[in-house]
Amino acid sequence: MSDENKEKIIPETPEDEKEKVEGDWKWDAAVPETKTDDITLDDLAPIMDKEEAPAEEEKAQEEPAEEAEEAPAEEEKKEEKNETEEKAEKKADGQCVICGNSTKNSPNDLYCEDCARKFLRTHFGIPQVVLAFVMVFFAAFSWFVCVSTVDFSAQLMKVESLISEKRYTDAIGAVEKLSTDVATVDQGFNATLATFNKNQNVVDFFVDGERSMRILLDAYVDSLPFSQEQIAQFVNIVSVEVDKDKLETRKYEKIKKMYDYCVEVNSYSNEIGPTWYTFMYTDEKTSEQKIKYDEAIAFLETCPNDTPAQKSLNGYYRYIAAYFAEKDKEVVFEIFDNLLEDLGEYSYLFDFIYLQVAWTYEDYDRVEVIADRLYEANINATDAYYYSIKANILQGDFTKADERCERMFKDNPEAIDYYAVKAEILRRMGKYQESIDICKKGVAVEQDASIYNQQAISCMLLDDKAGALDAAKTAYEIITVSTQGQASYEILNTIALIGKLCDDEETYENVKALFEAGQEPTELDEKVKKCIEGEITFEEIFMEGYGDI
Amino acid sequence: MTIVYVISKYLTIIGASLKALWEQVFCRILGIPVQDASYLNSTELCGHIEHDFTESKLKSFLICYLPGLMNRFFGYGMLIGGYLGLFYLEVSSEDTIFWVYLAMLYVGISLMCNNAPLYEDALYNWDMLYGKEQKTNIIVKILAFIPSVYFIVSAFMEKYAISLLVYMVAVLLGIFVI
Repeated sequence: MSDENKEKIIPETPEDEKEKVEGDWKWDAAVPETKTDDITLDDLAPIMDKEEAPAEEEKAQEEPAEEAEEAPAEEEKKEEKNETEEKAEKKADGQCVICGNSTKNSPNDLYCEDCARKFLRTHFGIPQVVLAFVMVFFAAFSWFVCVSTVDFSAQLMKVESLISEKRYTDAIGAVEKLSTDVATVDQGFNATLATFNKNQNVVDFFVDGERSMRILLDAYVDSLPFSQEQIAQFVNIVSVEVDKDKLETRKYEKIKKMYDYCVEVNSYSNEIGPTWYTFMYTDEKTSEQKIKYDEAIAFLETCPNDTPAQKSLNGYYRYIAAYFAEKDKEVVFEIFDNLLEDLGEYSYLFDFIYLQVAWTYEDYDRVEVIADRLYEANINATDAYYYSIKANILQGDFTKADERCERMFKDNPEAIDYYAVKAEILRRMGKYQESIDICKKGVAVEQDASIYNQQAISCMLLDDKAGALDAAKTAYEIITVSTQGQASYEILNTIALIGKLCDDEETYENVKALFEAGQEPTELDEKVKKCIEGEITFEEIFMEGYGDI
Repeated sequence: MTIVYVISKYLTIIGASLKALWEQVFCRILGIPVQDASYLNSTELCGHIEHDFTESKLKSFLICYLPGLMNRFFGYGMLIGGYLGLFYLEVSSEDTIFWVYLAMLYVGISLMCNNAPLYEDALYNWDMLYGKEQKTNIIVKILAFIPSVYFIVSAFMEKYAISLLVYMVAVLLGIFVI
């Protein structure tokens, strides 16, 4: 073996120890990185002879040659065992298991300092170190992305679960929350980038993905009412947010179907709308909207009535005609019943309109049926359910009203409407104190004007004028501060009435001014005026008939 | 089957290289002599380094467990994040993060396909802990049982590139089913 090769094999060995090391340990055989191309058997012979001779002699004495050939595995095992035992002995003596030198100064208890450096391969190549650093950096970044993605996915799964439970309003709210959270994480990401580079442009790195938009649109499809405004909004969202190619895929099948329906409704409305509105006019004497009923119906008879979109709009116009022509409720209901039958799978679009129509015509049994249907289709349709509760109250069936109210609360624990409705039921049952108690519970959850309004009414009925005025003034405060004067006609009139009855002219005048300052100036309700004048009592307004202003 | 194994290792080159690096690092930490430290080659050692069998049960267990653990620690985040981003959130290829998710998914799969020890090491670990002549504490046996079985199963799966196949099926499910 050449001297040059020897140097390559043991480059790290200090010069002063070189002689000693070479004498104790044959690096040529121990270091696998050694180039063996130019090693000949002659080079290895002295080493092999020296190391293997005693072992072979021992073996030759112990075992015959034929047996050794038959059981090489056993021999190997024995060799390994001997080697292990030898190593264990050396280890116990504080000697290097390879060269037999002292392990005293070595960081390892098995090998001496030199052998450890040579044989444990302490050095790593630059590519390996670079790979490790890049991977650590990428892994850290990935974990950050992963945590955010898992959070977004969990929120989206919740949305899907809400949709499967037919909680469409909650689902839409949850998708909106997801979008807000994505924007917040994006803000944080951009702020972090800005610390490295102040000129960094803001990037929308995190996105909520196409699935959330599809789920949102699915939820819209299932809870869409037949309203031209809502239909136009739906068409706009789909055309902006969804690629035309994607709309053709299986995942978007439901959305595509509704989109096509809505587009056709829009185009058909543009087609017959201008002619239709020529039949509407304003009565000069009464200033009321009227319609040339026979002409309008005759026109609709000439219109095509084949597709769901055409049937929907034709039916809707028929209802409008009947309504403005002040037809009997039987005529109106017949129009709706026929329309719903014709529309089949699209009939749910008209349920809410039908409910309001039934309410307007005071057909409370019908209200209950439609409200139940709406509630089954969308558990979050508390406004529809409120109609049925109110119908029960007007029918004098307070127990049923209470049952419905409790069911609504059970299904929608976060619905603040529950407290006001429950308070109203208790009040109508004559349980004023319980009504006040439930109102107090409600305002502890959320400061809501309608709950304070119910509390004020119950206090008045209990003859607690101070409590009533206090609650009415709080309701007024909430209306003016939180909702910028936006409140229901009934609540504002009740506040004005209680203010007047409790000798608080300021509140009364403020509400009156609020009515007069509106876009369409109005006056206080007739019932309020009559009550102030003493023509009717407070109890008559709130404990009889409709039970409200 | 070596060719299939080698191909699977080169397809997941990042994970294979990193796994071998962790093995080398932990051999160094545990004081296990390394015989061949080349990370990628065309033998069944591809993606591993060749080292001596250890003398202690603990070292045998740790050299099987720790390098894979490092790859899993890095890999889980990338795999889960990438998979959810691409197939659940359905991020569009027009968004920057799509490419990040794609890189995460590839590197994640690459790391997760390389978290098993060498099959021989896994068998040796089993022999050290549960071999006939071994006197292993019963509690140690119980605690190490599941990981030891996992080493053998995962090493077997890697040996025949089954783990890569499983992840490829998962990706196809993500594309066409989820």
